[in-house]
Parts: sequence; C-alpha cells; structure tokens
Amino acid sequence: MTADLFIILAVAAGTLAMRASMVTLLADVAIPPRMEQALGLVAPAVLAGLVAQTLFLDAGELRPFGSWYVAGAIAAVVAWRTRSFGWTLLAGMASVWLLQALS
Amino acid sequence: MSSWLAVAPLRAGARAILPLSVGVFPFGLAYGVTVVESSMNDLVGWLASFLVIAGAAQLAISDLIDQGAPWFIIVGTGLIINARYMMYSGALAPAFAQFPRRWRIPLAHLMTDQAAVTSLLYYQHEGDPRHRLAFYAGAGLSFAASWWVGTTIGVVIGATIPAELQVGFAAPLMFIALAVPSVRDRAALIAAAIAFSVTIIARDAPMNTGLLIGAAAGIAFGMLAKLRGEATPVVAVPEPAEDEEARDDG
Repeated sequence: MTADLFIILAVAAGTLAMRASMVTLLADVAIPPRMEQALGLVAPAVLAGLVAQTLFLDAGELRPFGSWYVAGAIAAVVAWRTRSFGWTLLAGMASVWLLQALS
Repeated sequence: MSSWLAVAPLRAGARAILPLSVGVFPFGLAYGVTVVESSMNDLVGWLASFLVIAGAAQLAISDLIDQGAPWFIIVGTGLIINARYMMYSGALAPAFAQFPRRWRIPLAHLMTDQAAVTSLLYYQHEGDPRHRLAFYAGAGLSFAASWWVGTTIGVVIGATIPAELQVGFAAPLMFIALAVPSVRDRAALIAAAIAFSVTIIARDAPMNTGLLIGAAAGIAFGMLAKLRGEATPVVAVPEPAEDEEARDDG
C-alpha cells in the first residue's frame, strides 16, 4: 500500500507540474518549435505502444492469437470511422463477447 | 469570485463535452474493476482517479504494479504517458494568461485530452476571459466527475464482476479509442507504427522498459519524418544564393 501510494503521489505531482508548466510559470515563454513537434508525437507513440503492451502482450509474453486480436481490429476500424469513445467501447466489448460465445 | 464562474458558459462547457463524458464513464468503470482485480491497493487505485486524472497513465500504472515492475520504472512510464499535457498546457497558455492566478493551478489539474481540445475549439470563437474560464471549468469538472463516478462504482462492484465479461479488454480498447484519433499526419503514423512494433520487439527488455523504449523510438522516427518533410521543399525549390548566405549569418 505504501509503495503504491508513493508511486501515485509521485506521478500526481509530476503530472500537475507538466499540466501547470506553461499556463503558470512559463506563460510568457514560448515552447521551442522542435520541442512542440516532439510533444505532438508523444500521444500517438505512447498510445500505440500501450495498445501493443495490453493487446498483443500478456504479462510480457506474446498473446496467442484469439478473440482479443479480432475484437481489437474491429474496435480500431470503428474508432477510425466514428472517432467516438462510446462506439469504440461498445463495438469492442460486443465483438469480444460474441466471439467468446461462438468459440 | 462568482463573476469568474458565469453559469451560462459553465453549462455550455459541460454540454459541449457531454458525449465524451458519457464515453469515458464505462472506461472509469473498467479501470475501477481492473484496480480491484490487480495487485494494486484498491484505495490507492481509487485515489489515483482524483490525484492523477489520466486514464491511460492510471491503467498502465496498475498493469506495471501487477507485473512487479520497479517503482522508478512505473513512475517514469506514468510521467512519459502524461508528457503530452505539456503540449496542451502550451496551447492553453494564451487563454490562461488572462485568468486570475489563483485559478490557474486548480484548472490545470482538470486538464484532460478531452477538456483541452473541447476548450481550444471554443476559444477559436470566444475571446472573453470570463467566458473562457467558466467554459473550461464546466468542461473539465464535468468530464473529470464522470471519470470519478465511473471509477468509484467500478471499485465498489469490482469483486462481483464475472470473469466472462472480460472487463480487462476495456484497457486496450481505451488505448485504441485514444490512439486512433491522435494519428493526424504521416509523422504521427510513423511514430505510432514504430512505437507499436518496438514495444513488442522489446518485450523482454529488463525492468518492463519495453514501452519506454518503444515510445522513445516512435518519437525519434516521427521527428525524423517531420525534419525530412521540412527539408523536401528546400531541395525542390532552390533559393537564390544571397538568401542562403543571409540565413547562415543569422
């Protein structure tokens, strides 16, 4: 519990510092263009890595091919077409339940 | 104080973000259930929704705690995932500069992908600082509240959720729902593809650093693509010699 709490407090403090960085202390300092470009790539890179880590890996091992892969692909198409959180979740969960019922 | 929180723009902000608030609620629910099912302390996992307010980082942290990763890797991964808030902070800075100082840090804490993007769209056609502050507060608070309520219910009912519901699948779904719209240009596509592949290739890297290595590789290759993209027109359209010289001097 103490270790978990320490981790959350550290991430919370660091995250608040980053959220507040430009809007408080650095309100008058422009972000260098190169840094801004790199920050713009953080979201696609990190999020794609997280998809790989949670969908294609399971506790560090390659996940055997199965319903998660198929449902994940369906969800990706729905996310691309609708750009909606709700539809992506609905399509993904419905697909994984259906595939499970069929298998 | 009340004059800075006019009711009309406060409501407008909550209304504009409503579809996203509805969408994030089940993810909050799934996060709460994931915390209960993982080896992470339930109370701390619940508290994280109020202290961190960042679903992607929170899910990754609970996953890494479950895998027994060292604390500095978990904190580092969480901070890398949240580094994108500096970009939103920069984008919101011109608007926040006109807000009273006492509001800036509390409002910054409510900064999410969704609240930042929704507010920035509103700021394109609304210049009044009071309206801007109240709109952001309405959007940020109502969206976070949906995350808080979802998490709370998830933690409370977590133990009663049957395994057949596969709530764990909500984690990759959430990352898919966030990742796909974040790919807006070629450089972002390259960054995503490289990060995705390298994270899988580096899965046996020590101390669960695979995601960090993958993300770093993705950002590096994305930057290379951006730099090449900038270089191309210079090669295609040669400029007069004196311009080249002038630039060298500067």
